[in-house]
Amino acid sequence: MPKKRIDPSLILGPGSDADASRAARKPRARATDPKEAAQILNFAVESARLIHDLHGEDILLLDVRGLSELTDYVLIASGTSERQIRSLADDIDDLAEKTGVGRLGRELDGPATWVVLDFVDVVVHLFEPATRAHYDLEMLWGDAEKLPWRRNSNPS
Amino acid sequence: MIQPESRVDVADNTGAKIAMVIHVLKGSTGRGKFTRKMATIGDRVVCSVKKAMPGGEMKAGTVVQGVVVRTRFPVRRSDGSYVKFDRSAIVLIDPEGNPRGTRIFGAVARELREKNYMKIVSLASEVV
Repeated sequence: MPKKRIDPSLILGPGSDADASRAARKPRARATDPKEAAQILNFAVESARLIHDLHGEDILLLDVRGLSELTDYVLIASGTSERQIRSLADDIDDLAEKTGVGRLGRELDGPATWVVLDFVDVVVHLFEPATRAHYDLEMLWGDAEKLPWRRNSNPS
Repeated sequence: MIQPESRVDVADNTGAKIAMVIHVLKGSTGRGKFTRKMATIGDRVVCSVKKAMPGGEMKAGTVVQGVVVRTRFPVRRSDGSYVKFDRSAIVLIDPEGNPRGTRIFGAVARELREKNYMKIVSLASEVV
């Protein structure tokens, strides 16, 4: 007799973690709810600031709404070493967990010259500088608007 | 559905144009028997380059690995729709899994994102 598949939301109830993670993992084009869209932009900006705080270089936050069907924001940054790039990826993952943004995928090669973190509406690319120059994603998204991500400095 | 001996297009700027599949990766028994015959979108294949642009990085006869990005055989989606393309195509990858080319020509299937090939999707001009 074939086993009946049980929907986890029936056990845990609607709005449970399993339900939320499945909804977050479902690929979609863009957030339609303004509140959700603001949360996504906030996460993208906070990720850029986190990379800056952890000594990442050449940080670029691009708004690709209307240009890409896959995502809303693309964050590109460089790290100086393999260890730093891996560490940046882990820290962004932690930030996503804290802010409740689900991760769809994480792709990294052996020597970590290019790490991609896919948060559905935000895609983060962490590069080694030579690899970044090779693939030249900035040129691919040349029409995209560059978003300001730096903190406002307090005049003192 | 791609199987050994299938001829596929190479949809990147490495210089290779046509490749022949010689092996579909993943799926073997403990005794070393290869069980997997067919590849679909998002599967890795080993290919031999059959036709290449003169002066390009790739030469005819080179054995390379690639990821299937388009298939003529319809692929079913969870909403009940099917996606199929005019020709089957692959993108060449290096042993680390990074794309060998820097740009990808034509549309690629959305299924690649779910199969964790976001690098290929990022370089593609169009995603279907």
